[in-house]
Amino acid sequence: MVDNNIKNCGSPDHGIHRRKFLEGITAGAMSTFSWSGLFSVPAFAEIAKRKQKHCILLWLCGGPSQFETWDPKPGKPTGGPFKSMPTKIPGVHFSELMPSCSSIADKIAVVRSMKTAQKEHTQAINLLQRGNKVRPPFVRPTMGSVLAEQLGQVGSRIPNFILLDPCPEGNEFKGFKAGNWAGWLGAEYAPVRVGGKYKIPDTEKLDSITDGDHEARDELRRFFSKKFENETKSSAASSYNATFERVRGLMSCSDLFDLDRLPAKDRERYGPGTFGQHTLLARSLVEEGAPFVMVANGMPWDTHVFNHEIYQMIVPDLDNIIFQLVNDLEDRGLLEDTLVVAMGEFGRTPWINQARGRDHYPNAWSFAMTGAGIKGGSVVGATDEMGIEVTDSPYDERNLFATIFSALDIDPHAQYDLPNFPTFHRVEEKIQPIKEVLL
Amino acid sequence: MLRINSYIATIILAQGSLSGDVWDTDIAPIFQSNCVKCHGGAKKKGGLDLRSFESLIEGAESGPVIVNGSAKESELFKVVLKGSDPHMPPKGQLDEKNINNLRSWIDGLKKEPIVQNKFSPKFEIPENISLVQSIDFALKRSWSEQGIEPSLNCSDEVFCRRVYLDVIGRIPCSDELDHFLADESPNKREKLIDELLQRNEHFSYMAEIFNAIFLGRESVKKKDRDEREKNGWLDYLEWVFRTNRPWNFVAKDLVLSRPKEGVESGSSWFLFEQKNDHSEMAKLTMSTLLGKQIQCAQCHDHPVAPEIEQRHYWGMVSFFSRSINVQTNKGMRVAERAIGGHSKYADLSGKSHASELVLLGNEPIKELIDASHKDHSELYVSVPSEAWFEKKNKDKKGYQLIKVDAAPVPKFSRRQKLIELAFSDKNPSFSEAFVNRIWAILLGRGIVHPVDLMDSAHPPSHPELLQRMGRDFANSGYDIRELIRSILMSRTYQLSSYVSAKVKPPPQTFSYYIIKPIFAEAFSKSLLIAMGHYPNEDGEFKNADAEKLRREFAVKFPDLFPEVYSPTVQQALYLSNNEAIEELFISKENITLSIIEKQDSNVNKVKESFKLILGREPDPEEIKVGTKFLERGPDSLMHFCWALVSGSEFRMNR
Repeated sequence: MVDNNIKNCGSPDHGIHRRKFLEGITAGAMSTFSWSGLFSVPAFAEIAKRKQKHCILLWLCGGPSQFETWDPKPGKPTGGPFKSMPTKIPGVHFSELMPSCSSIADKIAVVRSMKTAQKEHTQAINLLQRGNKVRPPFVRPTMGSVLAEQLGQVGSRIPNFILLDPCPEGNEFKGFKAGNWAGWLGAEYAPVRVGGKYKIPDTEKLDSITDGDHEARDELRRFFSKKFENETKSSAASSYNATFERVRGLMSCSDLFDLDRLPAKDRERYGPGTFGQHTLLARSLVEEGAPFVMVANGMPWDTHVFNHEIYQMIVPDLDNIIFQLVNDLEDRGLLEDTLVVAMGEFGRTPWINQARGRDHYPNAWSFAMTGAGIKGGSVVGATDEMGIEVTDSPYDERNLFATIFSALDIDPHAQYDLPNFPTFHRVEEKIQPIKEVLL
Repeated sequence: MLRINSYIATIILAQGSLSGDVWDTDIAPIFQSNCVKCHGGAKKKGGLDLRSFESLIEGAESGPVIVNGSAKESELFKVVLKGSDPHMPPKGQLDEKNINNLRSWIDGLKKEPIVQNKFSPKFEIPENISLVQSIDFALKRSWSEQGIEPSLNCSDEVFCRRVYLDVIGRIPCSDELDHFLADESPNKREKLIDELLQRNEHFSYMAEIFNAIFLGRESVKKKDRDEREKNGWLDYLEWVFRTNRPWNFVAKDLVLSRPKEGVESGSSWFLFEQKNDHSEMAKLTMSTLLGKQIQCAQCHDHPVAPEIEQRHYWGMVSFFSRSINVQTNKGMRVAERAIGGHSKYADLSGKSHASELVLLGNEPIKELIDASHKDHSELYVSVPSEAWFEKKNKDKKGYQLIKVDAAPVPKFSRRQKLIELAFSDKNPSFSEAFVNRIWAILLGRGIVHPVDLMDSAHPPSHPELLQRMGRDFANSGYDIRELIRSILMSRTYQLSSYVSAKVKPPPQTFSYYIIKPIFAEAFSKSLLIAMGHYPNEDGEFKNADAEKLRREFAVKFPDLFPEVYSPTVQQALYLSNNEAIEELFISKENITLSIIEKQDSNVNKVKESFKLILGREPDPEEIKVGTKFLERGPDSLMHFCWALVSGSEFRMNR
């Protein structure tokens, strides 16, 4: 079994006896029916050993303002009250609310010319989480599900897609969370949602059952349940079974989700907010081998009211969080294998509304990325002096997704092989990645 | 290349709606991203609304904006061309591809005026047939139109488990199953349905489901279950189903909150629990009784369903805005002021509007009393207690509870007006909303799905049938039991869940029984029965922890009608490692294990386990794997049973 993404998770002998029970009971039965068909576990040999890559998505849901972050327009009517400040890259300015990121601008790539087509949360979240226009009734997997499938390992103890989500609410994002993340990849690539209380309940085996029995009854359950699922082709049964596939993995690594195990000094550095604490948790999960961790926290960036007052609080917080994360990953030698993306579903309007807020604006917005495959210090694209239109190199969600895939050495244009489906690709129409930010 | 099981693909295919015309895929998105900011729900500049095909056809104040069949003569098309004056969008330029799409779409429109109504029936259901026959007629018709072969009728074993789960919220005990299978009469399914619909367990199960529908899961809503019980809410619901109270009376009970004494008292809790929050009352009434969500329209007209306007949201709130919680000698009530409730709301442009008393689909109601009137006992049917007129301090959360002898009733009651408009034959969406909900409970998804989005953006899969069932339900005097019975008696309900076709048709065809997870109440009760804790005639368990288990399951498995079923790994962990589950297995009252132990061979033990837990015979493969497992040692039987009850088959109604 390939388990190079399981470094410190669970005792090593767990790694191999997943199928011990089957060996025990199938010796005589092998000839009469096929186990592999029933369990649909792909042969491990097929999984190429690739250097483990990771991705952390800082999901700034609600739509962060480009003016108060990566693309300031100081002194312009659209610019708001904040100044800009020089960064480590000559000639490039970030908002003055981002002093720490300015000091490591040489490690960060910023794209200032995003131009997307959806201005309502639900549609825009879908667009920026799935990376292509929706085409009902087909449900495209989200970025996390694709990366879980590509970077993760079958049978890995640590979940391949972790969503750290302390706030169960979040207006339209709440609705999205309840929906179908994994799309046509299937429920096994849906996220494991953790948050609120950082510890997951019921991860301890009861004393009354031995480890061997616990595992054996799980195998038996899998056999009966998969059989039912296969015979009935039931999507509900399939989703239900997928949750049990994660039980033993989570049991062996539940302590990883316990914030209390992290040094108090680290926790202080990331600040008291849940977003910071969860970013720290994401870092430690990546250290433990998690391929994809998404950090979310409701919809705080949706500032239709009092944009400036709110951003004065949350942007410096984000600034510090990114700074700490980048430094920590670098210190641990993980930055070159870990892609970090900070983005929302759109930007915010140049004009300021009557409630001193900024509304949704997909026409010209920014995001930042750093780490694996990314050329630090690159600043791509531009908007006009008021920030109303993109004046140079407009990019959309497909360019963005192609960039993410390319940075992680995943073929952005691979075709899905879906029986009875139209032809779909990871990114449609061979749309190219944003080459300027790639190494 | 990425390989994916074909059936998963089919499932995904089945999850969305099937409408796929050019409007939805190519045209609406152009307007969505470029135009509706000014020509949509929030603003309608020039009177033009580009959110739907219908509103586009209506045109602008200046007249039609498209000429069918000719893009170059269409105003809408001319203004988007490069260099046009006036030009749209004012600060942008549609790209080449969008312009071409727009051109070919307009050119392709038929010359004659289009009368397009998504809900217009495509066929007629004959008048002289019963509700059961109507269901089967409409479904058969739609299958043949789509070239779908429906599944066969389900077996008696499956039917028995299915109908027990759906009607009384638990699996049959093994003697109940035996009794049904031994019955040789040709109408035994009908007999079973009628028998179950009269059981106390049916009334209490329906009460539990409708408690969750009306007021939400206690755990999710952070409400106190004991409060609901103490104030008679659960008893009231059980009484509704026991006496088969007409559904329009139920709706009236809930919204009027003027119950007689006794069991009806509990109906007041529906509004009372909202603690004077009038928006919450409006939202609840709309979603649970009328099948629509209006909260989207709080700040602007509904983004995708143009018929739901901002004034409808505030109109609905106005019906409740004079409501106030009171404590009377006969229990908690929600009384109503004779005055007040003249609020204003602002649209996105900041313009202020006075709320009207208006229900979606109706004209606003004129009131004689305006904001200048002062509260006075003459405005009430009988003179209210003095406390009613006193100023009372509110608590920190702005809540106040007035103590009066009896709840004052104003001569003009806004809630009374709402009831007259909303819960009568004049409003078909009232009965259709209930029909759709019962359909979803029994058949796994609504004819409109999800059940509380019955708006123009969510067309029904079988409009003719929904219309007919709604009408017949109203004509029957809103007879709940007859409606449930008719659906259970239909061929559609009794189809097998097994699909032989390679490609599984989408679920909204209802050409097979949709396998669905059972509600938390049914899950916990079935688990008790599978483990040999049998209920008495009232459905009560000797095991004192049954109620505790029910409450715990309601917290762990809260789903009722999700758009997509999404179980969590936390649920799987709970079933794997929680003590409450473990206790069921080791309890002395667990007679399942001792019955199985008595079997003379492992093969018979496997057979007995399958019968007691899954209500069916195991197949040879299952016997082979099962017997092998039982050779593992003394505790293996317990673990074997765990594998069955935690399995996907047990979790589902099939």
